[in-house]
Amino acid sequence: MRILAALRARWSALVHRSAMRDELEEELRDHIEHRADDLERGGISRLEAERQARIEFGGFEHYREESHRAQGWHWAQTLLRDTRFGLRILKKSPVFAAAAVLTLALGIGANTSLFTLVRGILMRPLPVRAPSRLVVIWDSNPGIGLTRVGPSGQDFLDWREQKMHAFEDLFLFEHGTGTVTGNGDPEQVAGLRVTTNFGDFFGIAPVVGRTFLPQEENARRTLVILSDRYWKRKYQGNPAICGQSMTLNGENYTIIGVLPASFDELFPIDVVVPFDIGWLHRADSDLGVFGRLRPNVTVRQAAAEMSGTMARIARQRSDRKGFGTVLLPLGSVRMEYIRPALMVLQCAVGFVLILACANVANLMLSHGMSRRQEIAVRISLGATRNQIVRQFLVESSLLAILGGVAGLLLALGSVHLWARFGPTQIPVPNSAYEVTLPQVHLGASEILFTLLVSLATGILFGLIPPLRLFGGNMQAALKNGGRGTIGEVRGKRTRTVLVIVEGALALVLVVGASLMIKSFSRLLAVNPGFEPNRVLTLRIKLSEDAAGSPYRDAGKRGAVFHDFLERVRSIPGVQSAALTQIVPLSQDDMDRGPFAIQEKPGSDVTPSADYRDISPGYFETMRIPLLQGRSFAESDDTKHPRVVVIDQTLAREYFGTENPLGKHVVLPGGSPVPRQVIGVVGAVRDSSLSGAPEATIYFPFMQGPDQTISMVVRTAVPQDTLLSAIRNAIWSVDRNQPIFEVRSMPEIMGNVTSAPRIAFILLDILALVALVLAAIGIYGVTSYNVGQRTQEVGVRLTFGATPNAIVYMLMRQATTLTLVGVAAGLLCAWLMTRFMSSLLYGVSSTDPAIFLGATILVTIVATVACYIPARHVGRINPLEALHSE
Amino acid sequence: MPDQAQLLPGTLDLLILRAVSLGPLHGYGILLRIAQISGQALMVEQGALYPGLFRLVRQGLLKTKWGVSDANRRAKFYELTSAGRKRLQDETDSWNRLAAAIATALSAQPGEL
Repeated sequence: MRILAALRARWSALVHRSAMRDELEEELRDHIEHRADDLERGGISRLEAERQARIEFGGFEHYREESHRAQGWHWAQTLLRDTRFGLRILKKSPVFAAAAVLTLALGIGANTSLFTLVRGILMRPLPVRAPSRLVVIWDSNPGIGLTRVGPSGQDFLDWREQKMHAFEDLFLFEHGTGTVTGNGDPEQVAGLRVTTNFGDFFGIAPVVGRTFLPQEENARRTLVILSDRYWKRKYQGNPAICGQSMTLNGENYTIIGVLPASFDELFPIDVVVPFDIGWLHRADSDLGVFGRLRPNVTVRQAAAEMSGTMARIARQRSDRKGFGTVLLPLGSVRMEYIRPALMVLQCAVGFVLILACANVANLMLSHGMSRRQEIAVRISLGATRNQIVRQFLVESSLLAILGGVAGLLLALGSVHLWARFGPTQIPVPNSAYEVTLPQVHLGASEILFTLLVSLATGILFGLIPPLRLFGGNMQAALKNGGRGTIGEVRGKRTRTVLVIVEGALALVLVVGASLMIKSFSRLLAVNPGFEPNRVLTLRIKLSEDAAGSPYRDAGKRGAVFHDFLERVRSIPGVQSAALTQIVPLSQDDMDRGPFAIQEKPGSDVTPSADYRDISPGYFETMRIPLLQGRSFAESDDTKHPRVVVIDQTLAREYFGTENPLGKHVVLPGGSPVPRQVIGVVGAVRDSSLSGAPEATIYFPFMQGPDQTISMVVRTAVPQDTLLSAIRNAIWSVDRNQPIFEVRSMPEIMGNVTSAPRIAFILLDILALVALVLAAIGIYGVTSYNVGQRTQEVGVRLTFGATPNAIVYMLMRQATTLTLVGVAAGLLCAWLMTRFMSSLLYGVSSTDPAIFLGATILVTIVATVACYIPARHVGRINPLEALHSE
Repeated sequence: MPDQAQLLPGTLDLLILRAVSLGPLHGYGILLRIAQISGQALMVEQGALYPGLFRLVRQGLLKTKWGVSDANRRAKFYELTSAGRKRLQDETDSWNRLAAAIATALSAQPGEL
């Protein structure tokens, strides 16, 4: 409030100028009084003394002004005067002002919106200690086609033992779920198992209690830390929570602390439990490892040290031969999926802003031309060039700031739309994990950004008209009155450049948008290998970990899954239901491994394939076509011979033209059991729509049911109406069975197409805006040029030129410029579209058809934009044209 | 007034700083102090003092506060800031060097060349 008061005081001092002046005058008068006192003491009358004191003081007014100026208020007053004058000018030409403000609002608004997204999503630091020093570490083995595999517990222990210099600390975690019972409905909670350096590694300050102690790794401890959201939901934020116990997977866990709410952004989980040393030795691959780099150590240095370490480890453990690691900064990995889309859009909004500036510069130029007499008069009356330039700059900044305010409103709207329709979760490539996007909002930095962009654009296009104007001869303008030639020649050159730039930028954006349209329609047309509509998926995890759980027996697991399935299938409205280990495209953990074909020993390549456990009815439910042989039957259980179904990709890659039916695949490890191939099904895109389908082997789940499985349900009626019936069906078998990750198949597919979809929608809007701006700009330039030549047209018409010839003449010039712009745009587009290739699917970034189509479109739009004003002049009455002045 | 030296450009600031360095003064007091310490040889035109004062305030070399003068009148008093004190020192040194150099130059005899 004090700042506000001070500002107000300063403002009123500035506007009324009285407060400051009063003080100044008082001081000067004091001086004269003091002098008069002295003179009076010399023996003259008071009146005479005061008169003399005033004379001695010198020019009171002059010194007062001088003092005032010395106080540093001069510039502010000048600015205020210029601003008032500028506002008057703008008020006098409201159409010009409105056109400029609207154009700028579009350009600035688009930039502010995108800045808000980029800052909120890409530039936002994670809420942990020194997040820039965190890196993700994966195993890789290029030799067998593995990039980015989650490390195992043993990898982590090996790395930790090596005490690498580059890392301050290493952290291992595993995502999972656990069943909470004994506190309301049975519930499946999202959990994280972590090494006990968890608290220190991230610099977590728990809201309540503590985090784990490093030495708690040495024995198995049932300690649990709650997330803020789980604590608030289940315990109403009770601060005396520590020491209470909760039942997790049938075991008693002691609650020792609560995480801060901000941690949710890194790991959106409910509970955190510790790894113990035994568990670390057992834990299989697909875990997550983060490293904290020492200060001033680069990722490259760390990667170099890591590769040396891997070589050392490979000498001790032969199974690690050929393995290396991949290190990437955590922040960039999390946003890897969405960054290219945002970067392409960032470029696009930059172009739109340049287009907006070009249009406004053009408007200012025309407007400035109509004011050249006023300016010439001001110069002749003693205004300096600097004053004129300053006046133009103040006017353009006024327009830009008004445009900025309107743009800010536009950005508020866009950010609101983003919050409503934008994606909330994005996949992290090569990890069974999705990142929750942080909420974006327009804050002080965004407002500051808008202000800076506005001022920069204001200065940019505000400088053009005066620079062009001063190119001509002021004196001539003054003499010539309205028909002056001042600046006209150079103004024309500026306009030429503007038309070329506008044509070029519009073309680049139209090419980019067309590529996105083609690519996105290709992506949507991709056959995923199954029919996603009307399929509901949900996940079930049996509480196998608990001591005394009946589900430790594989047969019992199979039986209960079978019961769930039967109950769900009997619900009216359910067409079919089946079980699968992995829902296609859901980013669930992938299971992949090598296999051998018994009939083809000693092959050079090590075949590898995705493994899937499924129940009978899966192919029918997902509508995956059966190409050969048969699919699984209820009888394919442990009592019968082991069988598999393979997909078309595997059949083609490893069997070629041979008939795979009746052949046997063998999985390595343990006691290799040959499994007979009984059928071949169509290929399915499991991990991404844009990737090629991977070779896949399907196993009947009854021959080794796992603990966690997904159910896919094809419904004849809308899914929402059936959800509670499905839950009740499962609960009628086991009341304590949690059901989680309930999602529809179209929803899952929406998540994996979110980045191209954002780029597709927004780039199209921006390209449209760009095309409209370019059309307006080209129209404006042509109509100005045409207007300048009205008299000439009159003369030509009088001497017998046909209107058509006139239109042709006027258009030839404009069209030539546009074509130059389009050519420049083609070159730019060819150079730039390669940066969006990671967003494109099924279309080359230099697709010739799209380049041709965009060229034709932009040329047509530009030609129409020239034709409208040209046609108008061609129809004019020659006598009127001659008299136009 | 006879025998009064014309002020060289730029010396007014130095004189003001010097006058104020001897103790806080109001505007008229500064004038009297300059006359006094220069042995009445330097006189500043009264009005010209104020633009100079305000400039020094804006540069942060002087600070002001309102008080009551010896004549029992309200007056604005000027005081040196620490930046002002340092500036006075620097300006004094450079003035002395310049004066000495000019004096030497002016007293040079043909035989010494």
